[in-house]
Amino acid sequence: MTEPRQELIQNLAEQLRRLEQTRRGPAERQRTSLGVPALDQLLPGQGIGRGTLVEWLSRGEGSGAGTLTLWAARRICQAEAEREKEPGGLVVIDPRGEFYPPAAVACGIDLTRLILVQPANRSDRDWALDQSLRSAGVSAVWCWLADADSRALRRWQLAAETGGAVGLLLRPISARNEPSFADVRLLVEALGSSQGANGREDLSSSTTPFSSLRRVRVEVLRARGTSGGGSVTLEIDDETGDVRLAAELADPTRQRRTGS
Amino acid sequence: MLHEPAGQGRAGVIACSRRAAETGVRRGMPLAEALSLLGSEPARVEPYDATADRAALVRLAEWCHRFSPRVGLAEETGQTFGDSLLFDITGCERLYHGEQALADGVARQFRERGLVVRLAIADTIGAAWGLARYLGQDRESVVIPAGQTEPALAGLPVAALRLPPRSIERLRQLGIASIGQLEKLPRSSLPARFGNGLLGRLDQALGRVPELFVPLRPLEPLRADWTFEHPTQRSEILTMVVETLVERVVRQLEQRQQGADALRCWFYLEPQELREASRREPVLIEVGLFHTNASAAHLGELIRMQMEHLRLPQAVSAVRVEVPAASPLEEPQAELFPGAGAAGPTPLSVLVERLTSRLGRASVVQPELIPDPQPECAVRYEPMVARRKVPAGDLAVLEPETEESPAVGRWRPLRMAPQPLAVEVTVAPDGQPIRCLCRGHEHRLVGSWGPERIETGWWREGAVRRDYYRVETASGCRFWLFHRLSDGKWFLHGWFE
Repeated sequence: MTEPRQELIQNLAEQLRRLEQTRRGPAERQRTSLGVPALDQLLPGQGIGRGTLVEWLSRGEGSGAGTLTLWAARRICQAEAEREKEPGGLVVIDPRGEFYPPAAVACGIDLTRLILVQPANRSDRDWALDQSLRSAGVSAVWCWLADADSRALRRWQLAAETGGAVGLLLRPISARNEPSFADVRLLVEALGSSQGANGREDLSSSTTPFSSLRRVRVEVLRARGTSGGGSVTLEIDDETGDVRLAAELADPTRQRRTGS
Repeated sequence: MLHEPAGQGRAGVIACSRRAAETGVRRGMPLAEALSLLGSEPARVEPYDATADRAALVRLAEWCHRFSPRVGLAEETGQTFGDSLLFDITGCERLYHGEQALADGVARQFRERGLVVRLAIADTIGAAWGLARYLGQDRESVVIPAGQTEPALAGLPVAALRLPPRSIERLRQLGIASIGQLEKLPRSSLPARFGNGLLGRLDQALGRVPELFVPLRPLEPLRADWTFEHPTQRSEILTMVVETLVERVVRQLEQRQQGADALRCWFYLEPQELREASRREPVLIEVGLFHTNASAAHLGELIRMQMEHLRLPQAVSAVRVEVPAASPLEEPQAELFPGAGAAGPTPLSVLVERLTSRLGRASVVQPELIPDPQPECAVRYEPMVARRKVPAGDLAVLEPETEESPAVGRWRPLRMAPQPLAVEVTVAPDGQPIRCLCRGHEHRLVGSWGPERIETGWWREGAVRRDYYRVETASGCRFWLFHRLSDGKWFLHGWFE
C-alpha cells in the first residue's frame, strides 16, 4: 500500500472514531491499559473504558477465559483505586454457585474487596447486574452469562455508563451472532500448554516445569470505533494468574523437520 | 494508651494495653515517659474522652436490659466506676434455670460482643461489686449462695469495699489487708479512725444496711403504628402508610441522635371470619442494614423493595414499623438532595443493602478461605450485611492475613461444580487418565498432571480420599478430575476457566 493511501485510511479511521465518540458523549472515557501493548492496541482508545461493557466469548469449558477476565478485573480495580484514591469494589455475579474463591485468590484478587452475589433466578441475576453496574462504589462487575436478551444488555450498557463500572461479561460462543451493546467483544480460544502442544510425551510428567503455562488466542470480534479484527496470543500462568504476551518461541520439532 | 491532662500541662496515662504494660507503662505515668519506654514500637495514643466512655457504658447498660429489667451504673459521688454495671436479678434466674447458668449465659453474650467481663452474683451490691472486681485471674464468674456472704468476703482485700484510697492506705499501714481482718476490729473504733464511710461500706456489703441503686430507665421502643378504619390490600395505600411510619420513626431516631441498624415492618391481617378467635400471624418484613442509617428515603426504599414480593392473603388492618436495634450516628445525617434518592453512607454499602434486601442475606456474601483439605469445604461465605464492624467505604481496612492463609490456589479451578459430576475415564497403564466421557461429550486428554492426593481424616463424617488430576483436552481446555479411591469412580470437579 502506498504512503498517501495509508495516511488517507488512517485519517478516515480517526474521523470515524471521533464521530462515534461524539455521538455518545463529550467526555473522553478514562481507559485502563491491560499492560500488554499488543492487546491494548486492538481496543478502542487503547484500553478498557470506564463505564463500558466488555464481552468475552469462549468456546467450550475450561478455556482460560475466566482467568483472563479476572486478570483484567484486577487491573481495572487497581487503576480505579489509583485514580480515585479510594478502592472500589469488585462484584462477582455467580448465578450457578460455581465461582471458586481460592482460585481467584491465586489470580491476585483481594477477597476483602469482593462482593459475591449468587442470585437464584434469571430476573434476580439481571437486576443484580444492573444495580451493581449502576453503583458508584463499584469498579468492575464480573459475571457468567449463559444467556441474555438484548433488552437486558442495553439496560446494562446504560447502567454501566451511569455508574462508571466496567462490566466483564463471560458468554458462550453462541452469542457471537447476537447484537452487541458492549464496547468490545472478544473471543477467547484455548491453545493448550505453552511448551509443545503436540503429543502427550511433552506434558505427562507432573514435574514438567512449564505445566502451569497455557496459551490462549484473543480475537477482537467487535470494537466500537474501530473496524474490529485482529488477534493476539497470550500466555496465562495458572499458578500466579499472570498474563503476558506469548513469546514467539520456535517450535523445536517443527524446526527439526524443516531443517532436515 | 489513653491519656488525659494531669496538671501542669503534662498528659498522664489513664489506661494502656497489656503489651504496653509489659514494657513498664503504668497508670498515672507521664505520657512522655511512657512513650520513651515504648521506644520505637508503634503505639496508638488517644486522648481519654470521659463523656464518650460514660455514654458507651450507658448504651451497654441499655443492651443489658435483656438480662434484667433493672440495670444501673455503679456510681457514687466522688467515685466513678466506669467499668461496672449492676443488675438486680431477683427472679431472673428462673429464666435461666439457676444463677450459675444465668452467670454463664451473660458472660457468653458479653464475650460474643468482644468484651472481657467478670461477674459475681451475691446478696448485696457491695458484695457483688467486690467479688467481681477481685475474682481470680482464671475465673470469669462466681455465684455466692444466699446467706454465705460473710465467709465469701472474708478473704477479699479491703479495697473490695469501695473505699477511698486514703482509707485503704491507712488500713494497710495498720496491717489490715483483708475484710476478714477488718471484721475482727471492734466496730465502735472504726468511725473514729476512718470516718463513718468505712463502717457504712462494710455494713452494706454484709447486708446489715440496705443499699439500693437507681436503675436506668429503658428507653421507649422506636415504633410507629397505623390502624386502618377500613382494612385494605391496595399496595399504593400500604406503601404510603409505610413511608409515613418510617418518617415518624426516623424523627424519633433523630431526637436521640441515632440511626437504625435494622428495621421491621409488620402487616396485621384482618381475620377471615369475624368470629375467628385467633388472629392470623402478622406478615413481617425485615431489613438488615450494613451501615447505621437514618435516611427515611433509603429505609423506605428497602422496605418497598421487599413489599413488591409480598403476598398478602387478607386485607391489612394495621401496620407497625419498628427499629429493633439502633446506634448513634457518626455524623449528623442531612438529606442534601431530598427526593433524589439520598445516597446514605457510601454507595457500596447502599448497593449491598439493596442487593441483600431483594436477594436475601445468604445471596450477598463475602468469601473467606478456610484451611480445609477438602475443596468444597475450603470456603466460608459470610453475609455482607453481617459484617457490620467494617464500614463499607473502608473495605480495605481488613488486612488479609496472608501469613496464616492456607496453601491456596495451587492448581485450583476457577469454576467448581457444586456437586462433582460422575464421568467415565479411560486410564493409561501408568494411572494417568487419557480419555474422558462427560455429559455425553468425549474428550481426548493430551496431558495430565497429578495425582494430588486430598484426604480428610477418618474422624470426619463423609471423609474423602481422592486423587486429583489436572487434565488438558485436545482442544486446549483444562479440567479438574478426581479419582475416588474408595470405589475407583471418577468425577469431574471443576474447570480451569
